[in-house]
Amino acid sequence: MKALHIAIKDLLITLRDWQGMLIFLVMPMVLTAILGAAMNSNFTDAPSLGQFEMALIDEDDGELAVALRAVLDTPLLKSLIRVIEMTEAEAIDRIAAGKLQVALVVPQGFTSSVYAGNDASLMVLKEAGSSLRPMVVQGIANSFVEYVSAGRIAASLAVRQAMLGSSNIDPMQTAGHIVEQLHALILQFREEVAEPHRSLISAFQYYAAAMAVMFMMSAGGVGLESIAVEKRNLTWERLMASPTSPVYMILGKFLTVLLVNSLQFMVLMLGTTLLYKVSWGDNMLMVVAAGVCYAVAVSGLSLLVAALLPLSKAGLGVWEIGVQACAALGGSMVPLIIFPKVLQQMARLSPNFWGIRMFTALMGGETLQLTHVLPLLAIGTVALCIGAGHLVFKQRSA
Amino acid sequence: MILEVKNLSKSFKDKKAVDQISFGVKEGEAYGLLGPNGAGKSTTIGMIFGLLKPTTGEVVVNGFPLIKQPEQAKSCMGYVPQEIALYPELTATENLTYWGRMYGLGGAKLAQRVAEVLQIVGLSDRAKSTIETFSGGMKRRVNIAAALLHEPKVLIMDEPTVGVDPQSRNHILETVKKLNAAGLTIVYTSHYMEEVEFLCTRIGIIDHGKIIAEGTVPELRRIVGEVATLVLQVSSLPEGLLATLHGLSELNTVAATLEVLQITAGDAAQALAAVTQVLADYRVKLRSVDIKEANLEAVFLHLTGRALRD
Repeated sequence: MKALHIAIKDLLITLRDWQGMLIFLVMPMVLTAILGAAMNSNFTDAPSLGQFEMALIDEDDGELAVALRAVLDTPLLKSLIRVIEMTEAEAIDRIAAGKLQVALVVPQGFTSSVYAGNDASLMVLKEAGSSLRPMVVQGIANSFVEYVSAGRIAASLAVRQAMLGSSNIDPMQTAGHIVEQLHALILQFREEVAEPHRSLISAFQYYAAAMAVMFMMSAGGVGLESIAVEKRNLTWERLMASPTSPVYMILGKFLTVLLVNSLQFMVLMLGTTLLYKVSWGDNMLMVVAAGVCYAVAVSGLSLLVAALLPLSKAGLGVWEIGVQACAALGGSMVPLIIFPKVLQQMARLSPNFWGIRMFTALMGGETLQLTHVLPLLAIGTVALCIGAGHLVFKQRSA
Repeated sequence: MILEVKNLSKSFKDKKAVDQISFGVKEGEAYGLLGPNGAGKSTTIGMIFGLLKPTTGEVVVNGFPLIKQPEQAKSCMGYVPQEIALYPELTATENLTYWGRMYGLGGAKLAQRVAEVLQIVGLSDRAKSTIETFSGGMKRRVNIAAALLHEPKVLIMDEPTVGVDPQSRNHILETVKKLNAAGLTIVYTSHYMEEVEFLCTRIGIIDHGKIIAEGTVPELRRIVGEVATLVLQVSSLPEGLLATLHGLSELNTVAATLEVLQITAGDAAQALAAVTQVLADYRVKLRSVDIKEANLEAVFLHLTGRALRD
């Protein structure tokens, strides 16, 4: 209970700081509006993005080209890409005329090159100026090549078995194997790369989530600051002189950030819903639970930083730098799809990545799943344990 | 004993801030810890409350050893820190309610105690005002009120009047006096001799981390014998003057701060005659003379050769 009283007291102090509130609540709303409007072209006509046109130029005519067609024919990708077969010249003409944004070329000898164990790649032709759709296609192409290259032995075996069993190769069967194997990859890919082109996600939705996670992280500084202020004005010392266990003191600060963050999330969620008609998902309870899960991660990190860094202006500065770095890396500024592959992998280090992934999944109509919340709860719990342990140790050995 | 401090020491790197301090405080007593700034008073208080880990020694409060039973020991003590440890954004009531909860109070009992302590410190009419709107003296009073909420067995005050205007200071001293008269045990640290002399029945004089003398005011006065303190304001302190004064047999001790000479002597009249002669020899003008009976200042001077505020 004492921890809760500490948190309620801190919440009261935070709420009375209207300037801080302005930053934590008004700024994300304003930025959502600005970025949502500015990036709208990349998310424009979200439903049509789910059915954009792509030219397929098959110069290979091998089994893997057939397999690629089968991949593109899966319901998952079919809902996203309408494939039109044409020659390279036709595609170039159409791109030049602005009638087509992207084309995927399966170069001659692609299948034999893969089977021979040589490097092979698919080529993406794109209209100058367009970025999102070609990136989606590039992502699919890369994933396909990566898969067939990594799995070429298995694929060769499958083909060889097919050849032994019958004098005719059944490309559809081969494709079936690959598609089956690719399915999980596609699902994963869909989540990681293709998030913004889920038909239900608009730019405003994306940035409502992105700004919420970024400014919730920023508000995590409240925990740091409140410990710093308490140490400066000696209320921390007075608290230590009271029969309040250091564990409750630390837990109180954790709850402070959790409360501030949860409240902030609710206001942002309601604000963006009312002002920008952002839909956060079908189940409000799940969205709120998701917000609290993200707040757990932020609260834990805030306490960890409070334990490890000096609670000075420099320490708070480091937190702010960290907030910006996590925002940039985690996709709060620009969608991850624009990032190179290696940065997309590194994004997992940022809580923003997991937060945005969770919220956009809910916005896209999914239910809250353990894979969404576990990384965030793990970040929060591990950080809380390390931070609290360190703070209690420091306090006891003063 | 309600509070027992046994062989308490605290070292910071090579510096010994507190060196084997021991004292005990009986129930209902007002115990003063008198010493100049940096003598080790606050470090001692810090160890009594478990804010600092002692290098050696132990603290027992109402029978509870602080190390083994910190929560029980701390529950028996009320802490008035040297600085104002309150939340400026919160009202007096909100602050007191919060601190009450930290001592395990709640419900109607807490509300009643908040009202009572506000009355004790004379701030009932400002209960709903935020602390940031209070004067320094009023803040100090709320600072004390926060330590009284849980009705502690012993109230420990660490220089509670530093930087307070004379009116608020008097109010605080009167309040503490009344609390002690009502049976509350007080431990009061200060470098203001008059405060300690006014409030405390027993005093420990602390210097360089050690208690150099302990006793009631009359007992401590007897250390210096029947001496008087002469405070002389002079026009200058030329070279050699102090050495000459030290050589006078009529004087016990001589200390100088800026242009003030502080002298102790058995016979004030004889001492004054001798000193004025020396001052005339050095062509130093005597601007004022103040003769005081033996007090704690004189005791400190006698024991350390320095004034309390040096």
